[in-house]
Amino acid sequence: MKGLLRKDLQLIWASWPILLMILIGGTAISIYVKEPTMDICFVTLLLVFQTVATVMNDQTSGWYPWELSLPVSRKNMIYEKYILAMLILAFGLILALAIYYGVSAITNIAPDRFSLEINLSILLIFFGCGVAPAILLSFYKKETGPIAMIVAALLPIAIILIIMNTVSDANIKEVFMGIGAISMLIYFTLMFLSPKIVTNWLDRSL
Amino acid sequence: MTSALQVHHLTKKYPTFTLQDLSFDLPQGTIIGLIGENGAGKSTLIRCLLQMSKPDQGEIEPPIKDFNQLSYIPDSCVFPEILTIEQLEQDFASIYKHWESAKFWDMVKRFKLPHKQKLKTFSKGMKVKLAFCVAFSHHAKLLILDEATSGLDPLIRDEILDLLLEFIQKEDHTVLFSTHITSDLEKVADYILYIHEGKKMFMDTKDDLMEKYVIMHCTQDEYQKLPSSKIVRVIKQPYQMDVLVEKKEAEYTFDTPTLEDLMRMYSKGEKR
Repeated sequence: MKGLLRKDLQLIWASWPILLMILIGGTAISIYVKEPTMDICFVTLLLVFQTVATVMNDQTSGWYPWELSLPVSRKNMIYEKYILAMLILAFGLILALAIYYGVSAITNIAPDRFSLEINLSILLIFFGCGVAPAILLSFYKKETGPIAMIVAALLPIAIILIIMNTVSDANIKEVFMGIGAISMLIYFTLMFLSPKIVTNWLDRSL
Repeated sequence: MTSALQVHHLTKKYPTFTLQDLSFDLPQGTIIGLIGENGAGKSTLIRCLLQMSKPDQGEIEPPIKDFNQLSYIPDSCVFPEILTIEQLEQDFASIYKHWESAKFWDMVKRFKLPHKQKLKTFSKGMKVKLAFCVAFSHHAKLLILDEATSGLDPLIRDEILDLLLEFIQKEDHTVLFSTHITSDLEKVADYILYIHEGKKMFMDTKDDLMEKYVIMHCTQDEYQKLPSSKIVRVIKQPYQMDVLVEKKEAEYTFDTPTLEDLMRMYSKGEKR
């Protein structure tokens, strides 16, 4: 698994100029609109979504399913993507928080615990209800990669909109945090179910 | 002779195709050529051997458990093109238990492959050579090639064939070589396995195949006089009959068939 992780990190690192440009652009916008909390989700998700991109890259290059001939178990091959996403989530969150506090200092807007907690919960919703199904869907076929990216964005957005329209302001933080926790459960459930699901797909495809 | 793999009654069903009841041995220490038309089932067979697909029936003995001893080279480069050889080498060193870095770099040097350039700048021949560098650098005993040399020029194919001959110098090394370029198999293969429409048509030593059969060219009248027991396959042409028979049974003018001729006779010919 270590070799696969290394390969994917190399792939992601190869895109650093584009990622850096987008990061700088996003940070500049957050300074302009004086909204530092947007950096938390934006920075982290920009990086985490690269995991889904690595699965799409594997499909288009033919690496997957060729990597099934490597001495890496099928389970580990699939778990590697989820572990990669978690590693990038951790790194991305640290970077995002650093940018958040930096932008707060630049814009003279004091860090706000309430907004921070809501944004962290939103991040977890995107992670569990967006990134996890997107990783799984990307394994299905080459062609489902773009659909996976759309699901990764739209499903969490739909959940968030439903919460915002149905829950009162008094409870909104607790509801977001609860849904965030459930999203992480979804993430780990999908992670453990993925090897079996992917094996079934593989077996049915020519 | 020891078998690298034994396949017993392997069957794999898809909606539009079935690999049917294949049984054969892959003798260890040999190059087995796997031939068949497009869609015959060669890649399906290979996927079953590699456990990428689970057969509906049958078994493969022994099932491959240690993938450190296996190398599989498909028909196109699968390595991420944005990476360099140096980066790939680090990855494979972490993936394979017995990675031989020195051997890998020796082969890269032998093929004059650039270390620091991204793979997207490589020609097809360079990418295939890189695949072989990886395949031979981790103590693999079984090498499976699925159309790995298609699209390469004759000079590079010759280099690859030399590599295969080097590889099987060790008794416990085996190569399964699926290709449409039957002339390559005529140069290096020890055995030929022919699959047609999901069924095994024959598996025999290449030398026996080339020695055993001839293609007779005879008229319709001459053909009618031939006993059915002699006729392996026949193709009826407008002005002659091409009849595949065993050499000892040949009566009229005949040619020694190439592997391609044998494929043509078996796939398009009829039994009487």
